[in-house]
Amino acid sequence: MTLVELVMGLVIIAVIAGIITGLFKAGIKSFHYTLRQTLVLANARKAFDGDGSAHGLLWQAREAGSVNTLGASTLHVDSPQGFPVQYTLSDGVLWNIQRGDQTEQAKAVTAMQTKYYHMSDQGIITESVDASSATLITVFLQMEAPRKKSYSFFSGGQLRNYFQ
Amino acid sequence: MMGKTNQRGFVLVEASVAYIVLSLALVSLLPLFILSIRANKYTEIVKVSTQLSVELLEEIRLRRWDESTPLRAKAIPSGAAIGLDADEASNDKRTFDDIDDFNGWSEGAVVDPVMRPIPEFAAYSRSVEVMYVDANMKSAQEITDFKQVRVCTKGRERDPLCIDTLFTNR
Repeated sequence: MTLVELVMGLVIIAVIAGIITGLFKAGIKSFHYTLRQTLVLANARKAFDGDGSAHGLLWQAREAGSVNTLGASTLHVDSPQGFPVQYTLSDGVLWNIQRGDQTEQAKAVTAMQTKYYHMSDQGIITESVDASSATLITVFLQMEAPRKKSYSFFSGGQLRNYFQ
Repeated sequence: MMGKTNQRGFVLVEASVAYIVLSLALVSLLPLFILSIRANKYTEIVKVSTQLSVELLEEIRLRRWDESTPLRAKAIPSGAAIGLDADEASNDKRTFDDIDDFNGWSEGAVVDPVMRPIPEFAAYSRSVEVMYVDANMKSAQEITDFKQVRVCTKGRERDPLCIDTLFTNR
């Protein structure tokens, strides 16, 4: 093997090593992206719908007989059994508070905004100013994934207190 | 006597060609990762679109069956044509008071129930289609006791994601 052949061989190996490194980098990036997405979507599902044991915001709103208090960044409703159920946000965690228990509903929630609506006597939708008439809630959630990328979700649920 | 064996091995050109072929094969794997990231992005859009469609469906569900239905009532044994009625504006859903008023409704960017824009979803659009269907859930030209409502949400140059639901006048 001559020196030229040796140098050429090394150059080729270097190029291939570069390509393989790039592939690994792309693979790791793809893995992290997937992981972030999965975490955020799983948390969004827990927040809105729940995870089987703890009912989420929308589930509880649809189950509720009435809104207890109109809160802009909380959801406070009365369950059909009569006890209040409250969702509040603290340090990036959505908490579910009912019957003296405080349980973690979802993580990585950085902002929650709730709005309340009712139907007027003319059948027109209007934003509620008192809890007793509210019959539709909308929830805006902002969730943060690792690396500080944030995701927004918006949904709504109708209470049981209308058309009954 | 054993014959002379060929122990020449590979020459540099052969090895180089092999390396180049290998490199091309490896580079061809790159689109797989890009595809994986795109697939995950699509999952996010589907999740957001589904929630947006659900929210609009809930808005529609609040309305009465049609303009003949008494206020604060859900249904009566009659029916009316699909579409807007007097004093309802096609570009303002706040004026809608029954389910079928939403037929043809579209939001270029998502707005809340009282028409306030939600900037975080400016890249999403929603549309609604309402139609009478028969007992077999087929589109019906005549008035029936079943309305099918389809809410479609479209996000970022993707195909719209649609959710269908059925309302009954019973």
